[in-house]
Amino acid sequence: MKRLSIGIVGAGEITRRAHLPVLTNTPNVQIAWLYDHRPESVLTLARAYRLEALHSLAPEALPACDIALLAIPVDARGDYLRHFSRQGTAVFCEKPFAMSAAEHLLLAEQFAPHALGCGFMRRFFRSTMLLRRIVAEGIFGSLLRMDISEGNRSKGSGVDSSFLDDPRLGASRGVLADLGSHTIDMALYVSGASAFEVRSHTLVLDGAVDRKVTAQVTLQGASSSPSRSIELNYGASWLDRQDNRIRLIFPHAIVWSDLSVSADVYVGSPENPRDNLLLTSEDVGARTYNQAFFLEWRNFLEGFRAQRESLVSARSALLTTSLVESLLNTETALPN
Amino acid sequence: MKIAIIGANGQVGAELCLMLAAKGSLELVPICRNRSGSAFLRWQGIACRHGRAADPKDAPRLLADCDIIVNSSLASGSPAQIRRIEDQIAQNIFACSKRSAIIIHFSTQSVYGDPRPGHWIRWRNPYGRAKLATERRVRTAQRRYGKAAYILRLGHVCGPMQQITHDIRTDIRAKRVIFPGQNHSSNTVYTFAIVAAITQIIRGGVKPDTYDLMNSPPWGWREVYEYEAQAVDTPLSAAVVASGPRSAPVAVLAPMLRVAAALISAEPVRNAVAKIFAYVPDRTNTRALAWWYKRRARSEISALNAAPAPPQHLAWLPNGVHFFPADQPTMELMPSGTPDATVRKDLKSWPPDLPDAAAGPT
Repeated sequence: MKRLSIGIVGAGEITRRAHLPVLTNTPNVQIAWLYDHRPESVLTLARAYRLEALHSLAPEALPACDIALLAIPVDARGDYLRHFSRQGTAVFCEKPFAMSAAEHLLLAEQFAPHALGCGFMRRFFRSTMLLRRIVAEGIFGSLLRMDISEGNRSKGSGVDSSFLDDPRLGASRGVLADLGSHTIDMALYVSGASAFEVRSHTLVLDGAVDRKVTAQVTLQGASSSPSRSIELNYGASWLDRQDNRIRLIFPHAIVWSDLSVSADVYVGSPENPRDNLLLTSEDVGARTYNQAFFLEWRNFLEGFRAQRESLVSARSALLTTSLVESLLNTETALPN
Repeated sequence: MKIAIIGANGQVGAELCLMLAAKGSLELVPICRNRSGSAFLRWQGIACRHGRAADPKDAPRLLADCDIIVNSSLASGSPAQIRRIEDQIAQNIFACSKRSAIIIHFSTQSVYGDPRPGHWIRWRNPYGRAKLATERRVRTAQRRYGKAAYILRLGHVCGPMQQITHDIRTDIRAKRVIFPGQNHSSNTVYTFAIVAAITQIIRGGVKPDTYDLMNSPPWGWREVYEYEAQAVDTPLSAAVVASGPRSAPVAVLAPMLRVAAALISAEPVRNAVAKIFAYVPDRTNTRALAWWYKRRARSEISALNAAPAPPQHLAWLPNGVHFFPADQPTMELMPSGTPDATVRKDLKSWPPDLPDAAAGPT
């Protein structure tokens, strides 16, 4: 099997803590180079992993590779995507993929479906896979409603400055694009919905930055019952503690799970833990973040090799971008 | 009087800021490194200053006009980074504050080492070691700059916004509280007691020193759970399981036995034993197998009927050698009413940032 070379743009936390440890343990993969515009960050990280470090280069000057990982803020990716598309290099982007559906479509059209991926790694959580299967196979009947909310008061940020505070990267700031896009994607992925309608939503804005979002959305075209609609109650917050669970309400059962990577799936109610039944399956799914990133990469690499669209293709995340965009629309939002 | 809280967006810092803002007797200067971090406080209507207290260029504009400086920060990163940052913050607090400034530095009970009972040596974890090293730096700086410094070694911090309190309340509501037979000292300190200690220090009469700051008088875990059950208006329903102190020989032998058991159960060892048994008499084989079957059955049956065990921290050792001389019992400081009493209702969100300190240290 041919060894695939991967170039990495971005030497931030997600690269340091997730992509590099996983890719260095992935068979038939070689990390060709690591690039960041900050020399100190890239040199330190590249030295730790014994990689070639690159900095202060234009996208056109980056060496060739089979796949490029773009682990940089969404607003900074444009030049790289255009360059790699011209080169015929496949690209895997961290989430969110784009800030508008139009931009998402425009970018996706420049690549073959198997050659453009987006890192919604929660799709590979064991709990997510089981919940999706329960909905798709109609094990408890048709899904009526889904409640999902995530977040807590932001505590110690752990960093001196964040791209979230960088006014040049204004469009990508906020809880919805950052934390919230994961749960939006999870809701859409689990339900298998193909369309949505936002009934109401509220945004708590700190200047131009959304810090808390709540929404009521109707999902349509779900995998189990395409003709029925599903009510989605959604919340994401950096300001206060949320339920941090996903609940699927079926006609005669509630199935729920918390949103951690190691979460189990139960039938019953989280308020009465002793009365719950534990659900499990033999499917291989992630119970740690390294496993989730590994399964995500494996799926994308297999798809790339077979020229087959992967479960994390950019195209599969279009509805997620579209719903995030709709919820960020302050003109239709209710005041906080 | 101006009071700066470094690490104001942290778990403890944020709750202290809300409580101090509600008291209104001090001019509050919360300090956060970035606007993402300060979002909660600003949402709650509390204006902040932004910058790095660890940076000698930032520190004067953050601290120079403050009369009291509370260091509630928690450095993160590699052990070397943590040591460097804690060092810089401690240094800057003393170097960049007013000559008359009062410094209050939060440390931790982890400086006392492993809290589990039955250990002959209480090894410190890296966090405890780092905090102890910072305490030394604070004392060195205190001698050098001649400023009043109080090191408060906080116990488990409880309060409406603290994770431990949330977990306790969740267990109480779900009726899954299990206590060990003995009511151990909890080493807890409520945020109300921390605010009271700060106020008492500002009032004067407490000698600058290193203190253990816990509830006064210390609360056992049952008092903590009883208080929280009242706070969430749920009767406390708890199972009690027998527990006895481990003897010293058990404490020493237990880790050795665990290592031995792991070695014996390793596949190469099992294969080697099986090979040896091929050459011993049948009767010995039969007896060895019977021993093994009995042992395995006993272990599996006891796992089936395993009694629920209380969380390990409920049996942790009591700490404290030099307690803060609180002038009021903690119970008298506790509010009655809703659990989220500290969250402000009449808030005006997103105030403008506080202006920087105009002058350098005076």
